[in-house]
Amino acid sequence: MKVKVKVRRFNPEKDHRPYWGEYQLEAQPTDRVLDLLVYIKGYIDGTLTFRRSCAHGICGSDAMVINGRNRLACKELVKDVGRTIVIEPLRGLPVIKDLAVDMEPFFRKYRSILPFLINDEPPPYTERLQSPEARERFDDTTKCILCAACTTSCPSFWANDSYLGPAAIVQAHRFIFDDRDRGAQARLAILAEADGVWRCRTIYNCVDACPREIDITRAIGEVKKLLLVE
Amino acid sequence: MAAHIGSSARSRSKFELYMWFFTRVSGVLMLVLGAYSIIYANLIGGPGMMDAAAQTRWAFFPISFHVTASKVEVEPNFQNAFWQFYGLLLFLLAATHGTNGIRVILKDYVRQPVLLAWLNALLFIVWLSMLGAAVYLLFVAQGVS
Ligand code: FES
Repeated sequence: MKVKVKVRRFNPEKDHRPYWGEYQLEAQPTDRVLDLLVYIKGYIDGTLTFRRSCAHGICGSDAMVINGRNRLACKELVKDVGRTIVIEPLRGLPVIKDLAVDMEPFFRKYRSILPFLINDEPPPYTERLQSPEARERFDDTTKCILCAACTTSCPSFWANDSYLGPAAIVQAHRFIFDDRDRGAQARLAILAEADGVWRCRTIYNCVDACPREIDITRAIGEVKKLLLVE
Repeated sequence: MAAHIGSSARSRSKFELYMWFFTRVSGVLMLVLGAYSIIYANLIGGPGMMDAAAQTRWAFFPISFHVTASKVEVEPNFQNAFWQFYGLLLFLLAATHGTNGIRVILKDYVRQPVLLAWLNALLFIVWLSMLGAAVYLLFVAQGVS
C-alpha cells in the first residue's frame, strides 16, 4: 500500500523554523512506523534524524508523536495508524534536530528522585530475599523504560516544566513500595514539594501514552495517599 | 535510616497536601449537603411552592431569601440557626474549593513570580469578600431568629 509520511523537520544550523517534510512510499500493513523512518533515511533523505536502538520496545529511544499521540515508532504498525502518518518530536523538550529531543531535563528529574536501592543495613550473607507478594506490590512500575512518552504527554508538564512529571514519579513509586528499600522518606519529601505529585491533575494522558501500559495515574494516586497517611 | 540522602533544604510545607485532601473531601461533602438541603426543602413543601430555579438556589445556598419569594412558610422551617450555619458551611466549602482551583490554575500558567504573588493576593481578597458577603447575607440581612 502507498503511504504518505509527514515528518516535522528542523535543523537548527540551517532552518529558522521547523517545516514539514513529506515522503511517499510503499509499505506493508505490518510494517512499523520505525521501518518507514529507516527507509526514508536510507533511500530518500539521509539527513533525517531520529533515535532508535533496540527496535523492539525495550530501550525507550524512539518515543515520538505519531498522529498526535505519543508512541514508540517501533511498536506502531502501519495498519493501525493509517495511510497518512504525521510524525513530530516529543513535546515539551527542546528539539536537537528533527525527531531527536534533548532528554537531559527529563533525566535530571529522574535522577532527582534517587532512582536506586537505598538500604544501609548490613547486607545478609545471601541476597536480600523478597516474597512474591511484596514484589507484586510494585510490579507495574518496574516496567518503565524511561522513554519519556508519559511526561511529554502531560499538560501539567507542558504548562510548567519544573513539574517532576509522571515518569519520575513512577520510578519513585518503584522504590517507595519496594520492601527492601529504606529511602522512602527521602523520596516522599521530594515528591511532596510543590513541583512534585500535587501538580498531577489526573488528566490520564500519561496512561494513554505509556507503551508499557503502566497504570501511571494510579501509581501517582498511591503516592499521594501514602503522603496523606504519613 | 538513610534519611540523610537527598535531604537538602526542602520546604516541608504540607499546604499542597492539605489542599489536595480538602478538594476531595469538600467535593463529596458539597454533594451530600446539597442533596440533603434540597430533599428537606421538598419534604417541607417545596413542590408546587418553589420553582426549579428556587430549588437549585436553595440546594447550594440555603438562605431563606430563596424561598420567601415562593409560598413556602419561612418562619419555623428555614429561618433558624441550623440553616444559617448549614448555609455558611456549604458556602465555605464551595468558595474555598473553587478559589483553590483557580489558585492551582494560576500556579500552572503564570510564570512570573511577582505577578503570581499579586494575583494570589487578589484571589485571597476575593475569597475573603465572598465569605464576608455570605456571612452578611446569612446572619445580618437575614437576622438571627
Ligand atoms: S527502538 Fe527501543 S523502544 Fe523503540
